[in-house]
Amino acid sequence: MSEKRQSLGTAIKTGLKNLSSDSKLMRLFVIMVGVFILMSALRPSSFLTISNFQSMAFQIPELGIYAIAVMLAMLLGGIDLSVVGIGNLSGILSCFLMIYLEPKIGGMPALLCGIVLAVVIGLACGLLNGVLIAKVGIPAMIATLGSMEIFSGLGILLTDGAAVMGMPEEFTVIGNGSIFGFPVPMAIFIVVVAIFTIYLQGKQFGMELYLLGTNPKASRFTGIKNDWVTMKAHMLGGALAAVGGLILASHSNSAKADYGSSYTLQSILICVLGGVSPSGGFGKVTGIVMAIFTLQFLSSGFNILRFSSYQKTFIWGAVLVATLIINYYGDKRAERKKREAAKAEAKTAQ
Amino acid sequence: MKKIVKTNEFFVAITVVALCLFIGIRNPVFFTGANAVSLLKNSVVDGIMAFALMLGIIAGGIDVSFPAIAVCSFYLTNKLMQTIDFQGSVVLPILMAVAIGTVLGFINGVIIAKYNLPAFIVTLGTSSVFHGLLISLVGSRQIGRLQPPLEEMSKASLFTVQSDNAVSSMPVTFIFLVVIAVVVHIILKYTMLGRGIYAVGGDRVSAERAGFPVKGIQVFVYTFIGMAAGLAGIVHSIQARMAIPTDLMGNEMLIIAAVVLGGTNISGGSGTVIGTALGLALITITKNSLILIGIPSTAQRFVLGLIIVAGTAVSAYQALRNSRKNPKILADTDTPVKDVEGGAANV
Repeated sequence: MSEKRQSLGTAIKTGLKNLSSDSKLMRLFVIMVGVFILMSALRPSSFLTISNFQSMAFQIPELGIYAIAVMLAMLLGGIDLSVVGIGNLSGILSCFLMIYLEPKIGGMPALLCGIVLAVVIGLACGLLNGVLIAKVGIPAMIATLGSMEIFSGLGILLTDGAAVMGMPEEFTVIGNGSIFGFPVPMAIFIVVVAIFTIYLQGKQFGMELYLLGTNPKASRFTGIKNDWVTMKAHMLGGALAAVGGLILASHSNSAKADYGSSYTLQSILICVLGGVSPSGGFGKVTGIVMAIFTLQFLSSGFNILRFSSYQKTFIWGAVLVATLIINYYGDKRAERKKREAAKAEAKTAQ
Repeated sequence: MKKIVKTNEFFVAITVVALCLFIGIRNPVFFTGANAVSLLKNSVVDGIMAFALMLGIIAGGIDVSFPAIAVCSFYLTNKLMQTIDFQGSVVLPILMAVAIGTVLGFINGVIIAKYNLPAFIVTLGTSSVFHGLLISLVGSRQIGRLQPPLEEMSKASLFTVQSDNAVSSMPVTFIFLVVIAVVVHIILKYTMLGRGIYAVGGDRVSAERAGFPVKGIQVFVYTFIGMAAGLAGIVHSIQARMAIPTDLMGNEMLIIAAVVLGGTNISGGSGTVIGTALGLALITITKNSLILIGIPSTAQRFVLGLIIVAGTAVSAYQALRNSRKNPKILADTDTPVKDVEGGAANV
């Protein structure tokens, strides 16, 4: 009998745990659907159109990929302010390479070389961040703030602040192409999301990352190489940022050192909205995906409603602060529920 | 003497002197009095914000919304002064800007302290809120002419230095920088509040147990940053003789860098006015004098980035090495050590 009670208790416990971890995502899902319905109701003739959905499908990937890169750093309990810098720098360098190679080996091979170079540059930039944080010991915020200046500064230095243009025609496929009517950047985003969902939730690296973010001391005592995990996470983030930068450059068929400067704020906003804890250890890719869809619905809706960019900035900021406060109350309630559940359990055990 | 050599300020001071010598030897113009005055003049706005921000960083926080607060203060003030065609004393607009800054800073402080939220992300959000709201509601048109009292103040100077072919005059607004520096120094060095600020940044839990009103100190710090940002804002518009609502934005990282370069620990607990002044000197010289030795302005951001990384790397690496050499302090640099004598000692 007592055994049965115990199993009932653990069942309640795990059930509650699942519910509380999912309730954040559930809330986000409701918000996402709510925003969608609201925007559809306000301007059905322009929001619920194929062209609007297509333009959203082209805008989501770049920001979404940047957000996943920031998320990797936030899971560690740090932050990455340099993703946009990495994206632009690797975009610029790979555009240079493509322009140089196109007359020699043709458009398609040049494009492939450019993509490889961008990812390599991204990995290298991420490695620099990782080394500065793990090996030198500079706090993530300052390290990536400095490296952001270095990456953007290099971009400005290389281009004199002008846009790089004249890439092979094939390059535009990344940002603007469609396969059977399905946008290529969206396909890239789906692949990235799939890879990181599996990588973070199933694999050893994901476990190490979450543990390190929750408690660096404990993770070191478990035998995890904290430094190496930090560097690996930042390198992956760098590579992701490079992919984001390529999509961004391809989208406008030009690369520039100051593209997407508002994406830093927005990608952090997406992470926080998507339930990634700024102090590390918690957050899921699913949350990021829902957050980015929510923001994109809002953003497209605002465009249709003719909001100015400053009005949008205001709303992003307000949403960010409001989410933090709502999460505070949500966490508090979850804690109280847990305590009550524990009390109830103690009573049944008696 | 040994003590002085070991301090962080000493390293920064050496770097500043080395940089000055390097620039000065390549281009003697750097060593003229006029250049020195113009460098000081250029550091007034950044300096006021840097000294105040330092308080926040010592208390274990951060603020990236102060440029937005500064813009809100000077733009709203100038707009109102223009609307009512203000002719009275210059004290009133300055007080008004300071008051606006104080209120906005107080909002930051309350959100951060009450909900116990990460200051960086909160102020990132409020920065967008303040600036977005200002421009959506008040407009983005620049005010090209200040009202006469402010205009007059912009022309007033403390003294004028003349060298070969350049004339530089020290604006009256420099006094504000000195006052803020002195006030911050007094708070940190001679008041219980200052002790509290160091304590909260050093170890929050201990500070709470020792009886410091942690949340109150947090609110004070962000309110003070807001107040100083308001002052810096109006000073900026006086010096520029116009009010452009997109000015100053994006400056926050540079000023954080100045504070951190000056030896203030970004995770809180340490920092001095002298250190910040030196860090500020480093940033101001880099920003304004690289052009003197033929480094193109396109390289400015790159060089600044290098300076930020290199400048913080030295002290960060020392701290990391010490913590790894000394097994008693095994915790990572970003987690406060709570049980130094605890179980960590036997590893």
